[in-house]
Amino acid sequence: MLLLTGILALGVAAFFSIRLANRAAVSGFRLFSENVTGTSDLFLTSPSGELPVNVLPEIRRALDDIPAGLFPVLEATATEPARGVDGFTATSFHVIGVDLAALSNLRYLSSSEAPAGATMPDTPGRSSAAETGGSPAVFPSRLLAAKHGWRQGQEIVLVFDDAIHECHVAGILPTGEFQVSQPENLIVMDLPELQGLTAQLARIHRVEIRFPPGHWSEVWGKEAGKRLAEAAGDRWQVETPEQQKTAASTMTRAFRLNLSILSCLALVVGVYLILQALEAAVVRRRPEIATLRALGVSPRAVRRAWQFEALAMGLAGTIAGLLLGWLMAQLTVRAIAQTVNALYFSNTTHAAAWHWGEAALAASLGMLASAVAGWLPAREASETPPAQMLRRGTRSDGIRALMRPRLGLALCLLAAVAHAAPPLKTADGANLPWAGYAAAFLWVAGAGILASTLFPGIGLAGRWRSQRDPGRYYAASQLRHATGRHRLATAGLVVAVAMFGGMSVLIGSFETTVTLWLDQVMKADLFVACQGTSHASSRNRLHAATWQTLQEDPAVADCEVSQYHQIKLDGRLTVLAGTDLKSRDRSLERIWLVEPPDDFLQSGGGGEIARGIMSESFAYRFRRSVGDRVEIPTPSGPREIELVGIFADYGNEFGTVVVAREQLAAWFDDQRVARMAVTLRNGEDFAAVQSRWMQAHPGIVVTNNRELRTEALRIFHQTFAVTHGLKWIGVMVALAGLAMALASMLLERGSELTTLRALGLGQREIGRATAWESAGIAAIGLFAGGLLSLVLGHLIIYVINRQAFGWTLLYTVPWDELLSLGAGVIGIGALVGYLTGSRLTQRSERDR
Amino acid sequence: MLLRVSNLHKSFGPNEVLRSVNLELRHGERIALIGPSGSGKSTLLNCLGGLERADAGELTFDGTDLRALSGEALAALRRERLSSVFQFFHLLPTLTARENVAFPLRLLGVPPEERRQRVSALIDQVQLTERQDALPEQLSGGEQQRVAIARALVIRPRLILADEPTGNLDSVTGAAILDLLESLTESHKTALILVTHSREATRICRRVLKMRDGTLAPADDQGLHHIHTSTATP
Repeated sequence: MLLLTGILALGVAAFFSIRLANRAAVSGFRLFSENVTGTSDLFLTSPSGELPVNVLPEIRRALDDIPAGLFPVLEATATEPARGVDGFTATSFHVIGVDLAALSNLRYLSSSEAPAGATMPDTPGRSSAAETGGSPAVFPSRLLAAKHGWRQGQEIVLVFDDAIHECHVAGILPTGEFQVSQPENLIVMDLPELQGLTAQLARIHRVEIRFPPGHWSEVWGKEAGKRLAEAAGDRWQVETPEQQKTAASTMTRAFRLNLSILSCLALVVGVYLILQALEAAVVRRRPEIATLRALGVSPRAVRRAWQFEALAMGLAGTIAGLLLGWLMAQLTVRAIAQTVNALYFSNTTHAAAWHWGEAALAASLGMLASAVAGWLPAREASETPPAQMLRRGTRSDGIRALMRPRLGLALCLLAAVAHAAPPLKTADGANLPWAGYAAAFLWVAGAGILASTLFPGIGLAGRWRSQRDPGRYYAASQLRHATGRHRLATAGLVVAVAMFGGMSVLIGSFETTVTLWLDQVMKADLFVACQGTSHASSRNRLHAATWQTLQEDPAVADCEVSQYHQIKLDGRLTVLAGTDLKSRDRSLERIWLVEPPDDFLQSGGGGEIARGIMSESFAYRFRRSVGDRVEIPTPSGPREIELVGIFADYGNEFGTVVVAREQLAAWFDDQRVARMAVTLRNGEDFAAVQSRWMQAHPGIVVTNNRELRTEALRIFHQTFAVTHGLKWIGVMVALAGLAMALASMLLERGSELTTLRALGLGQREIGRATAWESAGIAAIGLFAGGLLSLVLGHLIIYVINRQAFGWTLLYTVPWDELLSLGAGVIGIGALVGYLTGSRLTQRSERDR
Repeated sequence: MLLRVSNLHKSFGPNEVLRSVNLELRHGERIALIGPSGSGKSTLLNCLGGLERADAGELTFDGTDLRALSGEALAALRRERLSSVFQFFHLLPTLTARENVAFPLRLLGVPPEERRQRVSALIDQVQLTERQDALPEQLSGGEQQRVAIARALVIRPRLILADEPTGNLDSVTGAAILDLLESLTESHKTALILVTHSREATRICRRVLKMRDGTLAPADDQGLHHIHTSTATP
């Protein structure tokens, strides 16, 4: 019982920890978005991601007589200088440029005093390096300063974009009313200074608006929102803090949903185990139940007693699971936060806080699981006639649903319908593959039942050439006349093997596709980017002076530079990229799903109307086809682009539109680029060029083909780390379930063991017979689970993944992994059977 | 002498079940053990069959000291020379009647053709030719016990240990089973130790030994308690 409670606890813990870790990773984003004023009332952003500074007077005019503080914000990234290719993953800090003078006025606006210990100057004023000739002033968060041991007045070295700068710590951010929960990677700078450092002189990323506190604040907020929306046109959008808070959640929804569903599967396997154990307990205590029934205890009372026992076990397992889950979340959160960091946005989450809502959800699922698992054995205990229970050698049916192949067939048919169903559209236009998830559960349930039809076949096969192996002959006869317990054990294995196989197909398909994609797109010799560029939210860019100098290096044969901006289209995040479409010797190739016309590349995307190509996920998410036109927001106004081709892209799930880099630079008035792909002249020493460039430009990182590929695959493996863990948990739990099922079957067949011994079978021979029986169950579970995993793989690759992310993956079955699993499951199954059989025989001898 | 038991002791914790039991059995001899519940009849039978280990005393079967044998060797002995018949039949529920009878021959590795012949002959002898493909749950109690007797005889054992073989049957069926046991052990020259509560069952045995409180009652000059029994009416 202790083991069982532990297993349920593991299921609850897996679910709870994943939910907590997800929540922590997303809340890391929330904290950071709330940080500038702590409690801004409105956020004004542009669909193009950028606003010109001269928009501020317009906003002021639109607000008219409404009293409001405007706080323009520019975001950037600063990186801790790193050596060599380590710069790729260098520690990055989120830098926010704000008008410090205006921000310091907030204190008076909010009528609160800065707390003791705050070392931020009362009036920082304009102290830009440009004006004072000194080093740039930075204000790290208290956590960041503590972590790095930075003190006020200390000189520190940081990389902004592609250059190293000496900065001085002008103060530590106060942790007062308007500076809540600062993340540990936050640095605040004065806006003009940051604009100067990052060559974004007339640019801001958002404007935060705050009204004086009081009961008028809400009225002003509504009125201001209305007036600003009227004055916006296409240039900006107004959002409340709540809308901002949901941004991160929406962005990572599919990712989080996938993990939650996976952790639910761990719970399903837990349910199966409780069911197995309670069934075993019913078998063990049949004489006791029969005696109670004979003494006049009603079937209802017996049923209630068993259900109570299941719930008590569920309660103990749930409490233990919540505690274990919280501890596991502290370990999982780093893996998930790293994935979120690499794929979605910056966050510095290291710990997952306890959340009562998530705890209640996990506890409810745990209790529900134990109630469901207890129901069938309780029914069996109460409904089997006492006489039958007292009779020796009676084999009970167990769960009767598992003996109805028609039910299994019906579930599989339903699964096939759900398999083909379209996704659910959310209010914000995103796709949620609910039918796909439903199909997964229906396939699993149906296949679990249908797998039972294989027992007669394997029973017959097991008899083949069993002349000299009476143990196998006996085991085959057991399989030929399989009981409900055989079927239940098989169903559990089918679920676990299918879950394992399905996940393996997903990961294998992803890996094959991404590797092929990398082979195709990474043909250049060297790749140049700013330090810290492996983080999805890095805003570091190569300045024109830097990339043009490198481009003109005599060692360079060809070079392709590219830039990208995150924009919002139809209210949803996507990416607008610019690259050298006319590059002579194409170093950056693409896998074309719809190839653009020849003249597109020859003309570099130019023409009367801008032309561009889109990624597969863009085409899917925004329902665009080749030939369609799309109006893209840019700081210089909306631009119409004709879409002329579709390419495969696994770099992001938001979708990408690519236009000529010159065009993009003109629209955004920004000559900086995100990265360069460089082909060197024949005979050039890659390592020498790499080293020379990094010495000349310490703020950049130059990686060769192999290094970049390794880094890309590292991020890939990190993304699937949690999935790997969950699938192994599933298989281990199912094998434990097989052992429990065998134990309950053999307990029920105690008199048969006596007969076998009387007929001359020794302990080892009985062990061998049960090993064959167990291996037979494992083989059926493996066969049906293996087939099901191919179906689930198809579902995940072509339905769930496509609907959630819009990616086409090459369906790949990792046969080596599946064969290893097969050998492992049958081997461990046989071992479990041998040990169970011989131990029980030994025990029955001892008890005699 | 097929079986020689001398000063056999067996206890379960503080409870001494067998106290200095002595017994001798000749080849082909049939004896009955009678006695009240808890007197140690079944325990003695289990010790004789190697299913239970005696604590002390001597136990020789067919020239082999059973107490010196390992568990595996005892299993081999049961496979080759000793059979049991139980009150609750204890057929293997997933094998048909014919397969149950054939199973001990499989354990011995008897070739298929010989196995078929021996099984068919016995199935005929116990009159189950028509029911040989039925599973145990499809057979009546009497039919199941006939299968169990055929299974016990199929290896041509030296000794059959029968523990209340008619205890779960009505009197008519019980009598028929006893007749069958008598005739088959006679024709196969097989010794039989029959544990029973029923005096009626003792009619097929030449000697009847009475057990009380773990001991056999005072015996004749061979050290056995000999009760003369005439053929009783059912």
